[in-house]
Amino acid sequence: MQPHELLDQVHGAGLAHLSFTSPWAARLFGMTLTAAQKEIFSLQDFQQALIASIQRHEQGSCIESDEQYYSCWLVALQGLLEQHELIQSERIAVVEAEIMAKAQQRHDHQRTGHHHHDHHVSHVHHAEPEQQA
Amino acid sequence: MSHDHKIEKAWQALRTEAIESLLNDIGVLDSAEVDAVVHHYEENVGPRTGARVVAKAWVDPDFKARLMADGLAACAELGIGGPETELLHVLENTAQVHNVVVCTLCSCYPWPILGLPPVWYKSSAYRSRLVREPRKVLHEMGLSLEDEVEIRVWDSVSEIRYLVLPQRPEGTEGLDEAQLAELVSRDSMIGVAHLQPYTGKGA
Repeated sequence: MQPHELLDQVHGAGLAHLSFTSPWAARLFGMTLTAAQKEIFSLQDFQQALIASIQRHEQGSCIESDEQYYSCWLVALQGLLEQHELIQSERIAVVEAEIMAKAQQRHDHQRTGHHHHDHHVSHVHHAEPEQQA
Repeated sequence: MSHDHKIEKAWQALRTEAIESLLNDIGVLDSAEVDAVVHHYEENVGPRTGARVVAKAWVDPDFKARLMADGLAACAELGIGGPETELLHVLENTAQVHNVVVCTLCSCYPWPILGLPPVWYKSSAYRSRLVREPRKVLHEMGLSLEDEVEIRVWDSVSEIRYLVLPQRPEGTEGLDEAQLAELVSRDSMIGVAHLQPYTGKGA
């Protein structure tokens, strides 16, 4: 990042008053704090996992956006939950496929029902390849 | 236009939803509890929370003394705090000493006092450069300090979180605590900005 870009970020509008820049980041934050409150893990444990996740990310590229930062958070949280044997990556893959299938069904249904109002709202997100280490 | 509409979803959104769903299924987390945490951080907590602490410290010397001695206990007097922060050190800026906060390893931040950190606070650039060249970074962020001013950089580690107590701006003698709180910016409580002299006009 160039110095002037840092300045641009500071004075950049928009983000300054938003708590979360994406709904999934909000859910991640909420899940992490809830899990810590329930003593599933401590926030110190999570901090260590986040540090490691950020270090891995920064070996490849800098963190310059909330998306990159919370992606590290996601990898850290998933790793910690797997370590505590609360979730398994195979199960995550299955549930992800189910979620996508349901979303596709809803989308198809809406299209046949409201084909005049299709503003492509369901595919605004650009899918990114898996970035995990 | 394709007629084969395949929906797409950001991998982070999908993964997060799957994890939450699984945790709900096994009864580890309840989404309603997660909702409550998110709502709290979206609606109740933010830089205005910290601004109340700062304004109180400016008008009440006894409170300020307690705040400097034990930040978290003093904040609790105002109903501010949470289990997310265990130790809060308050750093007073003066004409001679300027304090600024960073977390070099991740992005530790006094959430219950200031809400969530801004994007730049989490950026690799800020985290890696502030310790090395604080005067230069602060200058780039719009804060130029005289050479005589000593800069102290505080790296949030382990359980300690930091809150900067900025200098009370000039021209604010006639303002009450609530009016003063309106003047306190988030960036001044991280230590990357000064508060402008008060002119009586709205910010």
